[in-house]
Amino acid sequence: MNYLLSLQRKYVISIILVIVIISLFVFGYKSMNASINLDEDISININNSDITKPKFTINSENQKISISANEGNFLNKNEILLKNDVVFKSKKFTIFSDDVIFNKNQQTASSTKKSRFISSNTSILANGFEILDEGNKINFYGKTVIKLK
Amino acid sequence: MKKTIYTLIIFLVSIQAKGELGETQITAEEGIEVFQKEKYYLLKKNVEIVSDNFNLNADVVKAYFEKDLYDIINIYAEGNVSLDSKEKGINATGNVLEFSFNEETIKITGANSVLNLTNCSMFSNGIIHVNNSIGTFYLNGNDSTLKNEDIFVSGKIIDGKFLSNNNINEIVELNVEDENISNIKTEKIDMYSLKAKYNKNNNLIELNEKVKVIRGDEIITGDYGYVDLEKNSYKVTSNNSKKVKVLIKQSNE
Repeated sequence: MNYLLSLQRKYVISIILVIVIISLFVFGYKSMNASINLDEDISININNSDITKPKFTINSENQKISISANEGNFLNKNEILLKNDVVFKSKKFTIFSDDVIFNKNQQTASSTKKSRFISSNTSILANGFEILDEGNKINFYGKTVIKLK
Repeated sequence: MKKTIYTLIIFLVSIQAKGELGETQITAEEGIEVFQKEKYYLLKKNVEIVSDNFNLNADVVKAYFEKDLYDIINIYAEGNVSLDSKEKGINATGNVLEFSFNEETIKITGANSVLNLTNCSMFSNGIIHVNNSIGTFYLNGNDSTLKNEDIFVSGKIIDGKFLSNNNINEIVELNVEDENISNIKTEKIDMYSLKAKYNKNNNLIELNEKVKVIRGDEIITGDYGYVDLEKNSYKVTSNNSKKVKVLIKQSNE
């Protein structure tokens, strides 16, 4: 008679149970790790921009304003949040800011962050701005300082 | 006497010529609205303009430009306005102040409007308007006054013309009007009437209606009069010859 067959039945069942428990534990551990990795992936996705180096243009009868930034995220169908070194440039002026919301449909842009406006012999420092009416109207918010030469 | 009129206005060259703002810093507590098509910008709340040539404070300021923001041609300031130019000897306060660099005009409106210049000051509860390019001044409002150290003029409406000669602005025409009474007071003669007119050509001040001339101890009243500034003499007449009244006070000395 084979020796193995001589093992008592209860020992065999105990060993099998131990193996199953260990397997379940290992499987459970791996599954947990996998879900943590998934979370990391999601957070990376949130930080990532939808568009890199976006460029837009506001066109009006009087002027053309080119808009550029390092990053952009779609907020909805029409609005894009432009981030990092946002620049509005026309023949008459340049505006530097961060975190600007650009509305493609209405051709408007606004920011609540520190903004710097530069044009011929003029500089403006404000706590935000808004470009309206296809660039014909520009509002600067908060305490504003203008320097003229 | 002649000197009095000559030195009455020695100022208006002080209104800046176009584009001579110099290095300028403007601060506004509640931001700016720039209207590019309309070519102006609106500065909101506690506005302060500090330039090489003048300082301006106001609640709200509208700055009109020609080519770009720096190229200001007109300024409209409203609410607690004060303008100060030590360099040019100008100080102005009022409710609304407007000045045009192109037209060389300054206009102050509202109660207690004041325009102080090196040798002259103007006050009105209505309008003070000076046009340097065509050489006119106009004050309209209750208790309007124009004075320097030699002469005092008061009335509801004071207007006139001046000419610039060798950087000295000389009044060539002066009209004063008040429905109650107007007054022109020089060092030696005190004149009252409803209307008064000065013309440099004949160097006479013409007085019309409710005329009263006071010179030293003499008081003369009538309907019409004139004062010769060259000869320091005067004449008062009346529509009714019996109406002229002369009062000569006796001096105690």
